Amino acid sequence: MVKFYDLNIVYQNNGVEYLNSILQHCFKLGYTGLALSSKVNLPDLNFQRNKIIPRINIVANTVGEVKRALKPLRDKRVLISVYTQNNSVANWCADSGVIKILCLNLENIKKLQRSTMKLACENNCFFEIQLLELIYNRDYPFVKKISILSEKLNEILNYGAGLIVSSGANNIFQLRAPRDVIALLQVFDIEESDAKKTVSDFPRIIFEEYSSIYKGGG
Amino acid sequence: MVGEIKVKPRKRYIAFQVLYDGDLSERDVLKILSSQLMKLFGEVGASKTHLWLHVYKEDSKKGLIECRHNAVQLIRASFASIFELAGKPLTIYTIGVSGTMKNAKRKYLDI
Repeated sequence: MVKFYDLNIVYQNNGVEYLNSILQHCFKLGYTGLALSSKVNLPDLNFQRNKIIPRINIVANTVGEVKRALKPLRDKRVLISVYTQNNSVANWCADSGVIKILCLNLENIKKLQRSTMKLACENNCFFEIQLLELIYNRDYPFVKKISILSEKLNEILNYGAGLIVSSGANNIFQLRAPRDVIALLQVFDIEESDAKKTVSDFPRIIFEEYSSIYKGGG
Repeated sequence: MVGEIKVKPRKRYIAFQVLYDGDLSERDVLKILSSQLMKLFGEVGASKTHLWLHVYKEDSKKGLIECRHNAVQLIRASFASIFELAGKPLTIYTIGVSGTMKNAKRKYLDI
């Protein structure tokens, strides 16, 4: 049976109850593992520890900013993602080995270079696009969105780099069933087998790496 | 003279759940779905799905759609791309897909 993962649930409020209902809905939709960036402590949640891993998102425009953000995380082995508009920062992150995910949106995906893809491939760094960007972004007309994303996402996949599609959801309405996500990705000209990898195979590699750390008490 | 063999079109039945803070009638759901299908795939693409809303329960907001077997992905993509109605968030997700209406009703809608 195929296992699906959503590696970006964002919850910035402190209420545990609503977060529990979001996570419950994720599992109901068919996800096996989740990554959560939230102020809430994972032990406060009603779920098995091996189903959820913590994640930290960094937004930075210079390498110095990334390094400063990484300093307090040195001993914590958490999943770290970086969003940047700057290509040299993206290259540094892809080469670092510490940052596992480079977040993409309609702005920075246009600037994405092959050198970054190459570094990401060499260092097991994955690119991530959020469903919020595919569905909710209204800065671009839908036609334009399809043309940009179909070109760039296929370029990433054809290069052999890992691509993850996650929800970025902070409420129930922003979640989608994994097989519906696969169908939606086909609108962006992504083959069904590749689309399946973005919600199953690629995120599983990251999830298993980090969930084994937590199982081992790291 | 050899008569033509007519092949019955293969159908699929998609059970779905709507999440929306408000009332939605069967007509509203059909309108949302067909307009989203046309937005994504155009009138020709949408017509090829042979979409038919069989059941929609307003209380549980669950429903059942019939379509051609090769149009399941198109319907799922339309579900995933719907996000609002009248300024309020709206989500539709697939509960399951079945080859017969009887099975779909029994497995996913508890009818």
